[in-house]
Amino acid sequence: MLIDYLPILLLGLFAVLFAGINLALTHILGPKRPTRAKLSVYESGVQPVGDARQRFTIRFDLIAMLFIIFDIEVVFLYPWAVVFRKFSETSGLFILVEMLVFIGILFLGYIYAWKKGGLTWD
Amino acid sequence: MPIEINWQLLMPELVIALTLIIVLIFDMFDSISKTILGWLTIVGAGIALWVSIQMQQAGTVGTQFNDMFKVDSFSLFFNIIFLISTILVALISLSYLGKDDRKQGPYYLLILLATLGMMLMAAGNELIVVFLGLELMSLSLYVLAGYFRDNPVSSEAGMKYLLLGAFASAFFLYGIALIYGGAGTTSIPGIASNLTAESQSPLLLGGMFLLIVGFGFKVAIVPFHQWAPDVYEGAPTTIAAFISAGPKAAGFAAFLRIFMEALPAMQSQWGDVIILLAMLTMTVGNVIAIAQTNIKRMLAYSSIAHAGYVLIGLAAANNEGISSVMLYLLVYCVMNIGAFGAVILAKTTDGECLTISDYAGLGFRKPLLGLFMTLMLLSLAGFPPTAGFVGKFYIFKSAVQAGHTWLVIIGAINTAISAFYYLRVVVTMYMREPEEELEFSPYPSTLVVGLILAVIGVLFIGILPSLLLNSVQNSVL
Repeated sequence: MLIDYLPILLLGLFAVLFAGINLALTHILGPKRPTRAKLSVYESGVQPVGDARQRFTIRFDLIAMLFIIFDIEVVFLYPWAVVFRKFSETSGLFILVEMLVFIGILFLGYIYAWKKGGLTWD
Repeated sequence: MPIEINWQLLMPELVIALTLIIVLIFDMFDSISKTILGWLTIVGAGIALWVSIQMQQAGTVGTQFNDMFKVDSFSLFFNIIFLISTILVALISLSYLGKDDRKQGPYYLLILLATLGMMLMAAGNELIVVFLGLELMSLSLYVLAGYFRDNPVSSEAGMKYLLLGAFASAFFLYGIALIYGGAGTTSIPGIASNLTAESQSPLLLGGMFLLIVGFGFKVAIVPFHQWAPDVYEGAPTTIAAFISAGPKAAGFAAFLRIFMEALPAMQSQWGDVIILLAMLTMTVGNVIAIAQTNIKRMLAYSSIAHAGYVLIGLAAANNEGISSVMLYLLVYCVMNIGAFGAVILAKTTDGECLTISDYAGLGFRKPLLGLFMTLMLLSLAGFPPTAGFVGKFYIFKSAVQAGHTWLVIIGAINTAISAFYYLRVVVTMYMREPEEELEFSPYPSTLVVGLILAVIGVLFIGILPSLLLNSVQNSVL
């Protein structure tokens, strides 16, 4: 029974060894010529302006959560659109209404967040 | 491929969902008084309750959504328990939240969402649906536990509940994954048919124990009970009543359905574990409750102990066991919400009476409050002619029939221990003189109505149990 999982164990071991050996090899063989720009946190990125550990407003979380909800809503639309044709002959209208109800409920939630001031910054 | 939906089967859930949407819309308009939201919740839950009772009497059975959702007398009976809890909690909340409009809107929304989650859990015929219901319920409860944001104790309760609850949900999900690995399906009837005595793999065993851990946390079984006292103490008292009633029943509903329908072939493995957990839960809950001075913490430990009594019925694992568990959960929900309601009723101008010594002399100065509190505590302790006695009697009877006599003996000893701390409050109320004069607020009428309903329920089931018992015995899985 458990022997069936042996390939997974081997795969895991192989992955660890492969990554480990490669990292070790680059560490040993690679030339090291550090410069100030290379050692910065985000090389070729924006210059850091300060410490990341500071308080910032909870509104970021609120906006992020609202974004995720409506993002997922759109993600749901894709599989629905893919199977729609298969069902469209027999119960297309029903499926369409189902999705409209789903979007309608989320839209209601959107208005709720709007009315409660979830979208205003100040 | 035509799609057929039997709307009638989904009636109670649809009514609750519709109520949710109406409450959401009403909450958007600032011009509407927010107290109406509480009444809308009560009316919606009342209609759903009526529909559930009708369907339960008619013996409606059916599955929906590719067998993912199963409506039978079992799920409908649990719907009745959840909806009764919701109505009672909404009734005692009406006055508790006060006149502040900002506080009321999301409160009832979250209560309705949690109720919908519980109904999904009881009707889930698929582990994933049970998990979705569990999360819908839990997420709403995390927010409700920390509902008084400006109160640090309440925030702490919410945070603690969220962190530990999310951890327990992860255990539960991992258990589902392992069971899927072992049985090849997450459908409850599918697992039962794929599972024979010889096909048991360590995966299934691991999954099963992880499920016990997940459920154990949600229904506060020792040793997964640590969150309960802190959350009950910090959460708004109405929410403590709600968390101790409906969600616990929902946890046991899913517990029963999964272990009795999907994993009966493994009873030799989980039976002993349940017996051990039952003994631990009863004893630890009752013994620690003795040491409590805060009445909300005392009720928290008492609710842990009651989960232990329910586990006795689960350990019996026969039809009598299941029906006694269902009866007990109904009784427990009514009397526990009643007890918390009496705590809310004991409101001084400074706030709630939370230490037990605050109750000194209350019995004579506040006769109605004394009566409510005494009745609910006697019922929790299991004295006849209250419902608590009937519930305990059938639990113990089923365990004796299943041959667990010594488990019943431990249960009886624990009942005796529990009588000590329940009666101590009654003794304090009637036989001690108050140390200082407390100014009491007048009784809110809705709270009194809620408590009267609870008292009627407790006495009705206690005196005429046979009316309910027939219905319960027809609802076993």
